[in-house]
Amino acid sequence: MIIYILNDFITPFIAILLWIGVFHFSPSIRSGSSLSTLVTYYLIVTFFVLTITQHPELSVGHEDIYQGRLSRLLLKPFSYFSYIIISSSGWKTIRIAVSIIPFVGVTLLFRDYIDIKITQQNALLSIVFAMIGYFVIFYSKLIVGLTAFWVEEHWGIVHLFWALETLFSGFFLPFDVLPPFLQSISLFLPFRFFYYIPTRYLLADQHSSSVLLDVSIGALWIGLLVIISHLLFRRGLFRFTDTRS
Amino acid sequence: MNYLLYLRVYLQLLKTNVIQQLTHRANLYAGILATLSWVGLSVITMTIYSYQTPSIGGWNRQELFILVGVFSVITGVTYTLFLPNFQNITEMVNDGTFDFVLLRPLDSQYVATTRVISLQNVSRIIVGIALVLIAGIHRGITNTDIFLALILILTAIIALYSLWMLFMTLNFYSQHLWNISVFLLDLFGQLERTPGDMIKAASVWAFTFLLPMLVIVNTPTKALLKELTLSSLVEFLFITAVLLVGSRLFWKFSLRHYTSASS
Repeated sequence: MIIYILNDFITPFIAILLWIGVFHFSPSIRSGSSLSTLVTYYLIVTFFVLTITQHPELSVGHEDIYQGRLSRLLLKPFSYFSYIIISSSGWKTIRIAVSIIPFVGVTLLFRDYIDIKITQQNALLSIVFAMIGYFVIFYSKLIVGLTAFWVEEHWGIVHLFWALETLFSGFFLPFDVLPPFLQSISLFLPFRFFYYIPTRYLLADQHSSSVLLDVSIGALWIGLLVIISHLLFRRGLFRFTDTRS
Repeated sequence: MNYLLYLRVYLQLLKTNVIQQLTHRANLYAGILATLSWVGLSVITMTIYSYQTPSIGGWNRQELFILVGVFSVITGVTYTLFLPNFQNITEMVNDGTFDFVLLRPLDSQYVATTRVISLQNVSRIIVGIALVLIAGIHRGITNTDIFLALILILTAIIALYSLWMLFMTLNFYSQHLWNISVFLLDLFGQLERTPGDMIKAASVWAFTFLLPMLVIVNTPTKALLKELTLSSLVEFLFITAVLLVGSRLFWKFSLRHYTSASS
């Protein structure tokens, strides 16, 4: 578990070092973001990565479908979807508890660069969007995992998803530094609800007029992803054959 | 040591592996897709960084692409030849099936790290070479630069192999490090898009900690860019020698801590 927790810190840690290096040689960047804004952004994103990220694409795709554990779970007297949500949440709770200390450590390491003013309103909005992000992450990754019903070696799809997630979710690069055409593409993808939007609302200087719009789009994404995942699961079950357990 | 025997064994293993992987093509295509996703992400990331500022610590866009390209070649060769074996070491030590490696009439490190190859990472090598050539044309790279860089890339592969071996050998001491390869893959993936000068400017202690990895990535690139100094070359060769000897000695020492579990 410690290795996986360290993994969560590598990307933002290297990204922060990289941006500190960029600003060491160049006083400004095209997007207009300052170094303290970027460092604060990455620390907040790391917080959300630690708290709301799950990996059902691994447990569902590889363990349940590929290794055949699904056949035993289907016999249990509870819904498979409820099971994966609850087990994923349980695992997440433990990881959050273990991640607090390294997170505090990294925050103290870069404390000179932090510039954050959190209001009650920002915190509340951020919590709302974090909850939306939680379910968007869960169901989108669940869909990726369910592709294992059709593609035995679904690792290619999983890695492609992870690469897109890294690019568009705000994990490695803030939305603001993406070129305009990539920002346009990301508007049609659910990834920005993963980490960028909860972070943006937490760090916003003023109350955004697009709150209602963002909540509506987030809710729509959840609805759409839930429907797709249920459809895929039902169709996939017809194809499922447990050959390993 | 009968080097001819080792070579014959390796060629046979290579042939068997290629046949096996070409038989399961879906697996191969999935792996290639995964590999290209990450290499593509590195290229896009470098494009975005260079879009934000024309020069990052003195590195312009072509030079950053050459950095990504060189690193892709180094990791591509290392991962093609050795990555599945590194991951298998973990499983074998934890399962207790490492005995079968020790029973072979060949050096244990050789047997443990050469049994399987990963053809999917050949795509990483191809993309890396393409990046270097395309960006290199703009940079005016000569055949001499390429020749020197090739020698340093080979040295970097040895250094990277040794570094991985150092970490994988830790599995002899603890079962809880089974996922250390995941950590290393992620770390190297991040360093792939990171000129060493940037890390040094940001934090000297981070640079010191990451020095071996950064030197492996950056030195062959600097040779291509005609920016290699004698001190960097000596530092690189010294680090490689220390890693190679250190990993070998650590492996030999750690074998004494291996206890078979069940076989």
